[in-house]
Parts: sequence; structure tokens; C-alpha cells
Amino acid sequence: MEKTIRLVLVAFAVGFTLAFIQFGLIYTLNIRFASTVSVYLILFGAWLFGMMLGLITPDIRYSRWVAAASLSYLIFCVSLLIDVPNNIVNFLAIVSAMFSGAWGMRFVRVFSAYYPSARMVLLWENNGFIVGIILTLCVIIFYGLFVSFVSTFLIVSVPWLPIIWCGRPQEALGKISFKKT
Amino acid sequence: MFSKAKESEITLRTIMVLAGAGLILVQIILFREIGTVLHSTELSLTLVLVTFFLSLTIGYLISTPFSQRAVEAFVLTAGVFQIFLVPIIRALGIVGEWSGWELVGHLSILGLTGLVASSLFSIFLPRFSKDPKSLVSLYLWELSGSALGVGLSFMSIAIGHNLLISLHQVVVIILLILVLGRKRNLIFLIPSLVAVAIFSINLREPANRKYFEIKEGIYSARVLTSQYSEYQKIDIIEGNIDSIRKRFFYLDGWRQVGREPEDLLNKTLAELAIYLPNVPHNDVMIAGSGISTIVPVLLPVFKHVVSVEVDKDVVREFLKWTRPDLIKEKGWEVVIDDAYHYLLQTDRTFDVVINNVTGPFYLQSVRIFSENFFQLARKHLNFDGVYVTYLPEPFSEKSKSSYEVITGLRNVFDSVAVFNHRPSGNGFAIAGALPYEDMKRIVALAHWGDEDVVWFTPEEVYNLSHGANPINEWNYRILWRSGWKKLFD
Repeated sequence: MEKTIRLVLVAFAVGFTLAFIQFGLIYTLNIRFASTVSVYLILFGAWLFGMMLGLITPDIRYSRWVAAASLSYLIFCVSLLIDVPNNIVNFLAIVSAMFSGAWGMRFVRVFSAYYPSARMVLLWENNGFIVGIILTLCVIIFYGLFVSFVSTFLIVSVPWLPIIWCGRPQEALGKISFKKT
Repeated sequence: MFSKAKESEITLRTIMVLAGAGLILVQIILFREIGTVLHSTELSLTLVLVTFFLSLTIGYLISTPFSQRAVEAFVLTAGVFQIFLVPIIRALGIVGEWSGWELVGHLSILGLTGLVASSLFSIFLPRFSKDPKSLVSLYLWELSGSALGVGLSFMSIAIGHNLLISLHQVVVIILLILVLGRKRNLIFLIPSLVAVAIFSINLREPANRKYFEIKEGIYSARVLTSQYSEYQKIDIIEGNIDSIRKRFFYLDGWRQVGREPEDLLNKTLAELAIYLPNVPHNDVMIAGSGISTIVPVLLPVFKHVVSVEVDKDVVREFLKWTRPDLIKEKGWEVVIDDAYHYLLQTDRTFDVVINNVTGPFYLQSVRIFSENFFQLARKHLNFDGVYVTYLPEPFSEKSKSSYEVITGLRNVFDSVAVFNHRPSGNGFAIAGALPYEDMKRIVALAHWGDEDVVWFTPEEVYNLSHGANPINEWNYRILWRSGWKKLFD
């Protein structure tokens, strides 16, 4: 497959997965607990905090963030199936949002070096996010909490796509520059 | 502009912080403002969100390939549009209602405001990032701005939506001044500032009042309250209709009380609780507040009336503007909680549980029509207790959504009676241990006219609704039907 198409697909898949996780968490908490602006803002706040962590922690490798995001989401998903106190499920959702945000940002940090411009990675990640928002709503409407299983599948599989299609994560910044902006 | 901004690292970082904050603020403002005309269902909120993110795509697309002059012109246009975002949304809302092109009007609001305006914020990051290192650094500053935006949005629950609008306008104005710091651009900005100030001081409420005047067909309207609670927009409007002064209560632009269909629906729910034979009159629970139309009817009959309402601001405002005397009633208790969550936690039992929640148009209210909620309600009903609900649509051969609700009820309760009530134009269901024939006695006991009620035999109900999937945690298809219906309403 041509390199540009692979790069586009990777950014799109990452955006798509991020939308599924973020909105999957919001809808799941809405179903189980309450539909408030605070729920949205708390999850979004955790997500943002995770994004910042993913950017400012150069020593934590990409694969570790992937492991943390996958594991936390898996535990959250299991907690939905068994009788766990609501507060713990809430806490797990916040932790999952944080680690997923961290993985998303870590992807930008270590794989943007493969892209010819910042615009390309941001644009296609955003496009994937749009499709993800629409499909998350469709899944929640037609299959309810099944959305959490779809999200779990995505979070344990999609983060490896950049490694397969782009190459090793560029953990150290500045090795490669954008060719042209 | 852009070249100048590059010269100063502080300016660049400030631009990124403001862009990040603006992104969050405009998202919250769009949600709230457009929610009034599109009624804040999951479907309409997704439309708003998708439009918002499409606007970011537009911003990314035009960020780098165009000349400095072209991007500068776009930033100025989108910026001024952003400053006037709320007046434009409200004006379009009024035009939409006035022209009768409601959906077209509302979608044009989405298109214009979302697509044109929000693209402003996504131009800077790709434009200024020259290598991965600068992308990371600038992204971090933008995220800091977004965190600030989240904090301000959180605070807006306490400090009010109007202040958030003003903060957003200030953010955009500073952003424009930093990016387009030339004298000729100030020619556009100064009149914008003046117009914003006039809007902030004088024009906010008239725009809201005019919208509801046209929507309701009332005149000499007065906005008694218009505020955003943690959950929704609450509007209470007073106006003349047929020379009678009346009050109308709206949640997210959707009328709750004030006109016959809603008032009759609430009255019928209250009458069902009072007149159903063999049902003790000790404890009744209302899912929803029921303050203005249900609680006053139930209080003289039941010993304890419990309203379970998730939004404390709804309780406060409805009490203030309808029945301030209710607060002194010893038999009435308000629990600020989600009805589902309340039943999960309480040990109390009731003779009647009434569903008075608005919906089912959004996820939270659909849960109250789910099989899971019916199971909870049954657990908390006394031996002779009944569960009373209205149906999403009158029962007929085509009412798929009502079939789903009734199937859930039939799976949980021994006996389910279904009837259509012509005066209110609604379908109702009564569920409990009471036989169907006994339930029918309500018509005589409540002094309803025989011609006002159409009963469906258990066989008819079974034949029509058989095979429908009940609403539960794995099936919210009702949202698809009701969401689109609400959008076109």
C-alpha cells in the first residue's frame, strides 16, 4: 500500500478509536448513572489531563501508554458486567479516559515525525473522530452497552497499527522534521 | 500577522492558549444555544458535535495551502462571526420559527455557525508547527487553553451562561488583536466590540422572548426566568393567549406545562393514581417533579408524596413560579436524584409509582421506559401497588415505540392495561397485580366520559406488541425514532 494512504489510514483509525472510547464512556455512564454536564466535563477533563501527560512525559514509552489504556478499558468493561459499586465504575471510567487521552497524544508525539506535515496528521485524525462520533451513536442506539466491547476491541488493536504500517515509534523528538508545511 | 506572531514566542503561546480555550467555550455555547431549538436529544447533540468537528476539518484544510493574505481574511471573517455567534444563532432561531421552516432554519443555524465560525480555532496549530518538536510544544499550550476552557465551562454552571458568552467573546477579540495586530483590522474590531457590548446589555432577553412569542403564538410575553442548569435550559415565559395571561414552562425549548396536551397528560396521570380501585392512598412516588400539575392533585389524597427530580433548579424555579405554597406541605418530599438511581438505593416502598419524566427522547429519560426500570419499580411497589406511565405515542397498529415499552411492562408485571385517552391525545399503561377488568373501572370512578377512552383488551395488546424488543441496556432503538421525530417537531 502506498505510504501516504497508510499514513492517512493510521491517523483516521486513531481518531476513530479515540471518538469511540470518549463517547462510549460518556454514553455508558449516562446509561448507568446520570446525564449531566459535570459527567461530560469530568470525563473530558480527565481526557485532557491524559493528553497533557502523553505530551510531557518523554520517558514513558508509547507501548506503555497503550498497555495502560488497554488494561484500564478492559477492567472498566469487566466492571460493567459484574456487580461493582457505582463509584468504582465511575473511577475506572475516569482512569480509562485519562490513559486513552495519553495514548492519543503519545501517538501524535512519536508518530508525527513520519508525516509530511502537522496538517495531515491533525486533519485525518479529526476526520476519523467525526466518523467515530456518528458510529458510536449508532452502536449505542441499536446495541446499547455493546459499545463498550467495540471500544475495548479498538483500544487493544488499533494502537499497534501505526507500528505495523509506519515503523518504530520515534520516541526521541527532533530526529525527523516535517519535509514541508 | 502570522509572521509577526512567529517573532514573539509569548505571543505564539498566548494565541495557542486562547485557541484552546475558545475551542471548548464555543463547543459548550453551541451545545446550549442550539439545544433550545433542537431540544438536546442525543441525535441533535451529535449533529452539533459533528458540525463542530467538520468546521475543524475546514480550518485544517485552509490552514497551510493558502497565502498569508487569504488566511488573514478568513481569520478576520470567522473571528467577527464568532463574536456575533450567539446573536446570530438566536436571530436564526427566530427566523426559523417565524418562517415555519423550522428544520431548515435550525440546520442553517448549525451549518452557518458551526462550519464557518469554529474553523477559526483549528488554523493556528498546523500553520505554526514547522516540525514535530514545535507541534508538541504548541499542542501543549493549546491543551492548557482547553483545560482553562473546561474549568470556565464548569464554573458557568454557577456563574451563569451569559458570562460564558462574554468570556468567549473576549477570548476571540484578544485572539484577533494578537493575530491581526494591524491598525486596519481594528477598524472592524472596534465596531464589533461596541455591538457586542450593546447585545450583552440590552438584547439578550428580547431575543429569547421573541423566540418564544413566535413559537407559542403568544403576545406581550415576559421572560420570568431563563437559565442553564447542570442538565438543561429552563425557560419560564408569561404571555397572553386569547386575552388570558398564562405561564409556559420549557426545558431545552420543549414545553412542559402551560397548554392543554401537557396539562391534560399530567392530570390524567394524577387521576390514575387517585381513582384506580383497591389501591391504597399512602405513599406515591413521582419520577419527575410534577410540581405544578400532579403534586397539588395528589397531596389531599395521599399521605406521602415523593417527587424524585434530578434537576434541583427545575424544582426551585417551578416552585417559585407556580406553587410557592407547596414548600410548606408536610406530606410532600422532594428527592434530588435520578429516579433510576433513587430506586436502586432506597428501601422505601410505594402504592403507586408514576412516570412523569419528559421523553423518551434522550438516553436518560429512555431508561425510565426500560425493562430494567420496571423491574426496579416492581421491587418498590406494595402488594396492591401499581405503576402508571404514559406511552411514547398513542397505542395503534403503527406505534413501534409503545410496543417496546408495553413488552417491557408485560415481561415484568402480572397485569398490564393499555388505553388511549382522547382529550390528551396520549396512550397510557397501568401495570400491577390488579386484573384488567378492575383497572377499567377507573373510567367511572374518575368521571371520564366513555367516549374519551379507548381500551385495548389484553389479547389485542399481546397480538400487536408481541415480538417487540423491550427497551433495556442493549436496545435503545426508540432513540432513533423519537430523536428524528423530535428534530422535525
